[in-house]
Amino acid sequence: MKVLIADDSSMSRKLVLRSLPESLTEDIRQACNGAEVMEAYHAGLVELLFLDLTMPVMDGFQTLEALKREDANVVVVVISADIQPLARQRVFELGAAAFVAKPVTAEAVLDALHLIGVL
Amino acid sequence: MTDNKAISRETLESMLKAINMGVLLVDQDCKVLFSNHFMSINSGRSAQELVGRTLFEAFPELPELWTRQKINSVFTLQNFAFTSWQQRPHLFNFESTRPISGMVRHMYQNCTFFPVQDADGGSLGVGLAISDTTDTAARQLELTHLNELLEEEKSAQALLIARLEDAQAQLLQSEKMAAIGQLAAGVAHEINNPIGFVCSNVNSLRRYLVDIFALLDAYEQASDETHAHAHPELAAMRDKADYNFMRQDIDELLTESVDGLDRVTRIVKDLREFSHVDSYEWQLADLHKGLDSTLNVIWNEIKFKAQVIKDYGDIEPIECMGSQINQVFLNLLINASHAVGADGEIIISSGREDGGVFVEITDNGHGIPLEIQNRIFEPFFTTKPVGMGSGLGLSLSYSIIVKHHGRLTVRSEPGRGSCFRAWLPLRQPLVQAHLASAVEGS
Amino acid sequence: METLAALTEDQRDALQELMNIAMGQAAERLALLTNTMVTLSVPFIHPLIREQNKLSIPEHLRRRFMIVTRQSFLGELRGEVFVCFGSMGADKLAELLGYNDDGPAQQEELMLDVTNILSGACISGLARQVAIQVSYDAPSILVHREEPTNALDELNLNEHLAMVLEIRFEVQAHQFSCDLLICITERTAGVVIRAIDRLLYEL
Repeated sequence: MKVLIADDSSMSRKLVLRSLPESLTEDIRQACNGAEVMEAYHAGLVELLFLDLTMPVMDGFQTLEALKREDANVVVVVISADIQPLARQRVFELGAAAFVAKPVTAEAVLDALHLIGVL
Repeated sequence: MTDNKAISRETLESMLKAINMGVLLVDQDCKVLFSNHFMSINSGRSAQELVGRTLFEAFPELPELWTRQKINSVFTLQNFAFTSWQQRPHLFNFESTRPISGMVRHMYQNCTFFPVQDADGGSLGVGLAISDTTDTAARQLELTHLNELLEEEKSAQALLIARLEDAQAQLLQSEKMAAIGQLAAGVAHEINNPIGFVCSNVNSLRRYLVDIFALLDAYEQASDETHAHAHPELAAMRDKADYNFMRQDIDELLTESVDGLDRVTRIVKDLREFSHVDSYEWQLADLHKGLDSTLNVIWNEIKFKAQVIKDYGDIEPIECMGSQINQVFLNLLINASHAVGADGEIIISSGREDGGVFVEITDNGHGIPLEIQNRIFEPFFTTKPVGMGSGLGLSLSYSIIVKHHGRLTVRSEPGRGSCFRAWLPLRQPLVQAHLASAVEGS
Repeated sequence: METLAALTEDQRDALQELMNIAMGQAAERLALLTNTMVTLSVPFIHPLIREQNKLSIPEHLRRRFMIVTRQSFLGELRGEVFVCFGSMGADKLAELLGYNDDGPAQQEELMLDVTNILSGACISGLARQVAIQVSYDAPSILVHREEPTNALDELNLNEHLAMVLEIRFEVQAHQFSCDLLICITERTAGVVIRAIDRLLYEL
């Protein structure tokens, strides 16, 4: 699967990367904001997306909206520190498949991936 | 840490009893699980009466909605919460702990809410710690109150100081004016004599010169041509002195000098008449003369500011104190000159009316706003900055006219001008006049 | 200041992320309590400029707030949080937090409550991630001004400040906003940095 990790924090990206099984790290890229995500998507490089909500330039919500408008065939796992119930609700309304709260643990990520059937 | 088992429940309980703080433990539904000695003493209810009840049964004064929210948030968020006597002075309705010396009736409290876990780390309930801050609160409140009082006094004093400063400035100004008046009178008096004899000397000089020139003319006529040839030095002297010109010029010089002396004499007379230091007697005075002499005195001040038009009517002399009436005219004329702008015009008119005489001073200046028209005769009321005008002028004028049994009124339209009208009776009531003289004549 | 300026790119990034997570937790608590949506800003970490024992507050924080509250945190992590409240309009918020009166005392209590909740959550969030314990004192009102002068100008520093983190919370539905200034002492800031280093090392 073509995997993209989007987060403005490099440490966070590394944490997510570390928690993924080898099968998912073969074709993997990183992005810092929503604009870079859309670029990668248009270049056909995104099938599984790990998305942070608070990013500069274009945040997670805006990215989800953009992907929804284009009817994108991307599986989105939101990984965020913004854990308010209304935020979670909105994320799912916008088409995300799963939500993992920060700080991430490997178990939480794997559980989410199992839940949505990627693993 | 130390071995928990070494500290028995009895020890803990006796500690909770000894500390001077209220301690409560409630569960999530606000049911009391524990209450310490402090709470019993201050509420008058024993621990047995409190434990097992809800907080609101045990302490009905607690605001239920707020308290439940507080307990709930501590339970959910697992953090501390606080109240301070400054926002919520009496959470529990306990009597003051200073029953004799205290000025307050109820205990002021700071409260802390904290989460309490059971042995396994699960949430057991919420603890309350109530501390008595009555002493601090009382002191603080007193300080605040004192501060407020001080502030009030401060502003009252500031106001008073401002008014005193004002009054002092006004007084200074009026003293200056009085002093100047006296000075002017003194100077006039001193100049009078020397001017007098210069005047008479110049007149004598004139007469002598007439005679001298007559003599010279006679000599000229008597000498003939042969005499002239025999004394050529006479012709030379005549040329050198420029005799013809000199003779003509002497006439002009003398005329000018006499004119100048006349003017000085007039000024001295006006000054003396104006300040009238020598007379506090009620006399018959011609107001037109007073107006004219006053105008002369202040001519320099108003000649560039306004054109003065005299519209004198037919009046007769009235019984008054001339110097004081002149003061009134001076004040009104100066005010008028200050009010006008470019193309300033001051009209002085007079006439008979109602058994008396009126004098009107009208200007085309900026006028007086309606809302202050009835204040302008107040003492110290002035619209000018301190140092310019005493603020006493109009009020003094008013009281002078009133003492003369007259009336001083004003008509004004902002932007168009003002008209001050003084009416004075022809004669004063007999008794008043004598009394006034007796009081003022030194 | 020297400490903060000396942070590497990675360390700054890690600190930012830690604060992000702590903030998320703070926002969640506030949201739970008030049943609304709370907007978070990206935490802004900046070194504080100090001129002769006075804080130099960044321009965008001047002239906006009128009431500043404070609460200390103590223990292995030590410092103070200052919460700057701007325009109120927090009446609905007050209701949601259980207040039904509308007096100055109630407004103050509301702000102190919000201070307590937000500071507690942010600091606890941070402390938990770096595995240390903190405790708190009661919040209090630092400055209460009618004129929009800079209340923080009156702060007198008596300890070196190594770190100031600035976070903005907004509850748009109720036109409520506040700015948190988290000030950590120089001595204990080292604890955070060492914890960050450990995290980065493990990566």
